[in-house]
Amino acid sequence: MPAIAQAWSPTLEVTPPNPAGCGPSPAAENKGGGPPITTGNRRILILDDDQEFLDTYGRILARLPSRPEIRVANGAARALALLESEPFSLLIADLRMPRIDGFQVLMAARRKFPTLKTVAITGLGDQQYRARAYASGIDLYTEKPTTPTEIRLLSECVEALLAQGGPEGGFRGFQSKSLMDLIQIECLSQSSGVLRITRGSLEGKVWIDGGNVIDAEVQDLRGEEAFREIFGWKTGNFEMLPADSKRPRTIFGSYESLLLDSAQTMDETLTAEPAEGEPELQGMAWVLQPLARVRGVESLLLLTGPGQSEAWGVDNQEEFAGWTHRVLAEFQELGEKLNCGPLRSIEAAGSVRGVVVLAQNGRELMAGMDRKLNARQIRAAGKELATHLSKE
Amino acid sequence: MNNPFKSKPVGPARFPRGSYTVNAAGSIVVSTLPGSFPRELMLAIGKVMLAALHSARELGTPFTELAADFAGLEVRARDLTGGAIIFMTPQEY
Repeated sequence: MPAIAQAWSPTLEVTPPNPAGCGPSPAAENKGGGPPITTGNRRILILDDDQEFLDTYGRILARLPSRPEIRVANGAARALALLESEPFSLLIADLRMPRIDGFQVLMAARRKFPTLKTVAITGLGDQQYRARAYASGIDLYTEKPTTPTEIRLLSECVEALLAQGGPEGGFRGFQSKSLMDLIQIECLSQSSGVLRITRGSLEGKVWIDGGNVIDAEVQDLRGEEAFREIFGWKTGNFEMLPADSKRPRTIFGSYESLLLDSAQTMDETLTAEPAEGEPELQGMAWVLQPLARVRGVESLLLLTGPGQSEAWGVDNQEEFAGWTHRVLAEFQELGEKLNCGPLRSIEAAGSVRGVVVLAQNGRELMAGMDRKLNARQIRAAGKELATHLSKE
Repeated sequence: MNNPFKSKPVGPARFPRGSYTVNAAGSIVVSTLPGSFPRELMLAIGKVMLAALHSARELGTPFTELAADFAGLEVRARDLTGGAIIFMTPQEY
C-alpha cells in the first residue's frame, strides 16, 4: 500500500491556543529533533478568528498524507501578508467572523493568486452562501465540521485539493476542475444539492443527496445515461441549487463506480479513431455531429433561438449568426413577394469557403463548406444537411 | 356540374427561364427574360442578391456564386465585381 494511504486517521485533539494568534501551528513544528517534515512545497493557510479552531485544524491538517506545512492567521491583514510573503497551495477561511469578511479575503486571494485553492468554511448551512461561494470560483464550500467523521471528510477533501495540478480550463466557477472533481468534492463532503450544468443551449442536472448521486437529467435522458452524457462535457457553466428531497432515485450505485464507469466510457469514446475522412468531433454538441459528417462541412453554426446557438469551427460566431439570420429573412421575404414556394436553402461558393444556409423547424443553420467544392457539390451537401436537420 | 363559387387552387407563380445582369447600384443592364416578367420583381431579386454578396464580402467570405433554392424557382447569381449576372430557373413544385 502506498505510504500516502497509510495510518491516517485524523482525530479531534485540542491543543492549547497559540498566544501569538498566527504563525506556524504547534502541529506543524518539528518536535523531538527528528528529521524535518517534508512538505513537498504544500502549504496551507487557515484564517479564522477562533484561535481554538486554528490550533485544532492546524494540528489535524498537518497530519495529512502529503504532510503540508500549516500557517494560521486570525485576521485578514495577517492572512494577506502571509499570502504575499510565502507560496501557499491552499487557503481555508471562515466566512463568518465578527470583524472580518472571510469571503472578501478569499476573493482577494483568488484574484491575486489564481492558482491558489480556496476552501470556505462556515457555521451556517446557508445555500445562498454556498451558491455565491461556488459561483465565485471557490473550490470547496463546507460547514464547519463538528464530528470526527465530518473532520475526516473535510481532511480528505483538503488532501484531494492539494493533490490537484494547475488549472486546465474546465467549468466556470471551478476553473481548475473537471466535472469529476466537482462531483467528487460534493460527494466526499456528503453534500445535498442539485448541480445544474449548462453548455450552450444544453442544460443538465445532477441530483446529489447526502453524498450520493441519485439522479441525472439532460434533454430526454435520465439516470446513468444522462450522467454519462453530462460527464462528457468538457466545458460549461454550473451552479449549485438547493437540495431536492423529493427527487426519485434512479441511480443506485456508489458515486465512485459511477464516476469510474463514466470516465471509462469517455476514454473509450475519445480513443476511438474517427473513420477515414470523418472530422474530429470531440467536444462537439451532439446535435451538430451528424451535420459535421456531411462531406465538405468545415464549420457549423446552428441558431436555436434568440441568443442561443451551437457552433463548431466558427471564428466570429456573433457576426455570422447575424448574417445568417438577416440573409434568411431577406430571402424568405423575397420568396413571398415572388410567390415561388418555400425557401429550401441558400448556397454559395467562394474563394475562402462555400456556405449553406438553411432554416427548419424554427432553427437556422449556416454550414461553412470546403472551398474546393463546386456549386453542384455544395447543392448536394445542402440537401443532405437539410435531411439531417429535419430529423433532429 | 361546375361550381361557380369554387376558387382555383392557389399555387406558385410560373416563372420564365432566363438571365439578366445588374450593376453595383442594382440597375438592370441587360436581360434575356421576356418583357412580360415584371421589372419590379427583377429589381427585387437583384437587390437581395447583391446585398447578400456584399455583406458576405464584408464578413471576409467573398462569394463567386450565390444561389437561393425555392420550391418553384432557383435564383443563381454570379458575382461580377460589384454587380451580378442572375439566372432564373423554374423548378417543378
